[in-house]
Amino acid sequence: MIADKASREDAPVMSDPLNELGLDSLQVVELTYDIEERFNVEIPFNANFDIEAKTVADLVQTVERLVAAKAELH
Amino acid sequence: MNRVVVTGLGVVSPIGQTVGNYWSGLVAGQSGLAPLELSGDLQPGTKLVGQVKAFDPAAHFEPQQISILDRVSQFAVVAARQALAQSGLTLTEALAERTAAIVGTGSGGHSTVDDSFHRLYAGGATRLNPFTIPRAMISAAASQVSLFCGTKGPAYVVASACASATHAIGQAFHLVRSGGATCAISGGAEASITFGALKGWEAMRIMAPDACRPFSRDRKGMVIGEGAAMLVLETLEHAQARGAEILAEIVGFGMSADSKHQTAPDPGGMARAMNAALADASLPPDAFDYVNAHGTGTVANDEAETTALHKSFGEHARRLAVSSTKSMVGHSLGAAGALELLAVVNSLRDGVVHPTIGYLGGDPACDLDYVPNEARQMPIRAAISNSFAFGGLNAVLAARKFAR
Repeated sequence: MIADKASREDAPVMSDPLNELGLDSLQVVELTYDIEERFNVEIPFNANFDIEAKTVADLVQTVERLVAAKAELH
Repeated sequence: MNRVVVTGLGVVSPIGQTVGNYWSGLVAGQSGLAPLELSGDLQPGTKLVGQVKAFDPAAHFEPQQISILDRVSQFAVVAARQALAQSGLTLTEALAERTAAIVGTGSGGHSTVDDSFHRLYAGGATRLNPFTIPRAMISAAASQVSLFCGTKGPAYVVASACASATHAIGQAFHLVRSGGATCAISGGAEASITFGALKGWEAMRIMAPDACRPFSRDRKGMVIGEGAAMLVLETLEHAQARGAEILAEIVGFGMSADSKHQTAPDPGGMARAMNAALADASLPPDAFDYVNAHGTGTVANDEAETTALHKSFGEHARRLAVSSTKSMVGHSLGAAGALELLAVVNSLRDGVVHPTIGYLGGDPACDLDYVPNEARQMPIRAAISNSFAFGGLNAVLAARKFAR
């Protein structure tokens, strides 16, 4: 999904910072929305102050944590 | 070409529904931002907004009139009536035909659209109120101002998102200056604090969770507001002939498009609009003492606007007082430029600039004098008001203290 949004041929690696993938600010917001729709989770993210130093791994961990938390509820 | 002066002001805002209350609130650094109050079961995540509280339509309109007026038109008409009353203009048949009504709004009758479509799609309704379209159409605010105030000259709505009011007033200014109209009622109105619109804003992920802190370190985004502000513009000749009190002179209007990005601000486009306003006013950068900034409180806008002020004003940028009205009333989108020009007119008249509140300290990317937290008395010869919209549509008005 990340490679698709960034229009990349190669898949990003876990240590890649999100803001160095060639995504502009609106694309990061779109990507977050796409992930929320795919996994049916709410990712807390404000483009004003959450954008620095986030890596692909951070994002994956966040989604895994949110999906797990959701599973526990059921 | 005619000189164009301001002879009337009107406002409906989160910190006052008269010009006196609004201006004294701004000078006192009063925040109109408060927890969202929205009727119904559907509640968005947004907590902080700049709502117009205790606005009673029945205090301003007959029941029959209310049924055809969306909240945005109610705000527009109430502000326009105040402005017209202050100007003291009597719209005779001949003058009415020479008076324009040009109103900016970003989204028109948003609550009518939100409510009526929700009733259809989710509420099982099979028909809608016959006034749905006339209430919701984006041009309704200009129609209603012309109807209620009795203007019969050019009338239309200008929509350019967050720059709508500034584009509208700029068009009215040029119309009066060129002789296309003798007077104009012009400004902006917005009332789009609805469940649907707030969910849309949340999805952009640029809303501040707790406070609006334009140009400050640790700023966390913008806060949505609502309201309306209107001005009466007229030729200097007409105002003087009838002995009207002149509040300020509008001297320049500049516009530009970024042609870069749908949402990211561009200092180049901002600077081109400011340069165009200064050129239209035939005034050099050092003739200006005050900038009422677009100043939304997002990281991106405030940094880009600071860069643009350096570009347009050069060395003089550091001597400008720059403040953000949005720090107190939030971002009222298509109305914002009019609420902000009202502040500029009062600043020029009184020699006071209102503060940027919520300011915690400097940010290296925002290195100008933002009049932090306390109003300032200072002589103001001329000022600009900036509006920079999503989609890269920029508009800047220049005004100066009136002198014969």
